[in-house]
Amino acid sequence: MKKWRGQLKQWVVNYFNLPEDVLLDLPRITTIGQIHAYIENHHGLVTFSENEILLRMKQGYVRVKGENFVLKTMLQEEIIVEGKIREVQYLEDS
Amino acid sequence: MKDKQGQFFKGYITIHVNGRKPELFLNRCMHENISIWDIRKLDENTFEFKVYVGSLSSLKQIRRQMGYKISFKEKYGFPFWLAHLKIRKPLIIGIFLALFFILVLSNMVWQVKIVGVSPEIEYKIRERLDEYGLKQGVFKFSFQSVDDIERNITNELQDVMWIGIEQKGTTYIVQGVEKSQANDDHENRPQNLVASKAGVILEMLVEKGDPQVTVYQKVKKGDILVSGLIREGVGNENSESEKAEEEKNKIGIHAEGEVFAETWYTTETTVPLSYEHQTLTGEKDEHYKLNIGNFTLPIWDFFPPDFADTHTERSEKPLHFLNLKLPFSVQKDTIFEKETTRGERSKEEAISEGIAQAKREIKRHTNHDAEIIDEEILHQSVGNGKVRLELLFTVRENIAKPQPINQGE
Repeated sequence: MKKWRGQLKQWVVNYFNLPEDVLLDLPRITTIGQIHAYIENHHGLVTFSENEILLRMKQGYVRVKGENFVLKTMLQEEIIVEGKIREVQYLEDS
Repeated sequence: MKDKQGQFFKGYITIHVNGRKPELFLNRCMHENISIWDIRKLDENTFEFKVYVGSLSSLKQIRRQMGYKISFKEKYGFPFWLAHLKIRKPLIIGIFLALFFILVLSNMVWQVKIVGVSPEIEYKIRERLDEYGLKQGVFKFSFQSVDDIERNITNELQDVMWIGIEQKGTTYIVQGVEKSQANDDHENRPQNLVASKAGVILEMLVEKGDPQVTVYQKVKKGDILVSGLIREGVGNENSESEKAEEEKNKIGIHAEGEVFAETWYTTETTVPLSYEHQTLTGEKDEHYKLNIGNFTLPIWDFFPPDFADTHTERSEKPLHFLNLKLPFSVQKDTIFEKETTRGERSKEEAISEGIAQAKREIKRHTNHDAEIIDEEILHQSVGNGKVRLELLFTVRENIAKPQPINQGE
């Protein structure tokens, strides 16, 4: 049943040309150079330190690594990270 | 991002949160919709972040539930600033006192400058201005309107042709123009004296010139009374044939003298049989009010005077702060007690009133040396509650009027 609903959403997104992040509740990560990273549709902060930020997503995690991280804003569904971004990693649920 | 607007006015605090896994605390804040920003990790168990003062109470609630340690580090913004100022009351009082003094002093007259007149006239004008209340050290709204003062002084001082009062900040500049005396040069110009009105000559006092008329002679308006053209070598009788040549030898002099004549005036006046006068008794009450937009706040004397009938003069002057005009103005109401007298008068009284009125009218239109020697009622009628009079006045007055002689130069 759940799988069937997921397939339907996928079909709707494709057919109506809708943005996937909205409908499928997927993370949307925007980076501005290495300075800023906007992470939307996250499901909570797991760890945060100067060099690493780990965010829970609907499925799995997103890890951003870098230096001198500061969280500029922390809202319900959006986090802005400032610092020097080195890498963005998707981690599968394990 | 728009959450960050108005940070200064809302006021925010830097907070340190200490405990195991402070991320959980942040997650909780996020779920409670508390906006937090500038989050930094200081060490394993301590985070630093900023939060609005307004969300402090919900933050404390979370802390109580989750058992983290919170310490406040830095406070920033208007609310704190305000709280800080409360401690420094003398400073605040000082600032307000200073503002108040500037406000008061901006609305005072600091200097009254009189320019453009001789010291003598300047003294006279200053005397008058003092009387009308425009002098150093008074409030701008305490005296009547500048236009009135201008007009009154111009009327009162004979030597002044015109004065203008200009306000420049706290200085009033009074510009005067003196009446210039007739030119000396003018004095010796040849002139005739002609009749300014028709009349019968009663008396002639000729100082210079050749009289052309005699006493009891009737003259028309414009007739030459005293000629300024005289022959050179008066006394030498010349024959008729040389008369034309004589005309050329005549020289012009400045004829002077007074010619009193009997003149006549007819006037028409109507006097109503019932009358109504309004007079001010001299009792007055001054009220000051502060106008802010449409709102009026009484400052002084809150109770209206117990006058039966009143006449109110109102003057409004804006308040100034330094050179700025404030949206407030001070209104000064001067309430005079008014008395109305009504009455009826008989026909005889009305006639005598009419004659008195006409006499006043004539006095106004003639020179001050004129005197009324006779009056006569030509016609009188009563109708519509009014007495209509036609009067003839016989007046003795000086009718000599100088007229320059044009010698064709």
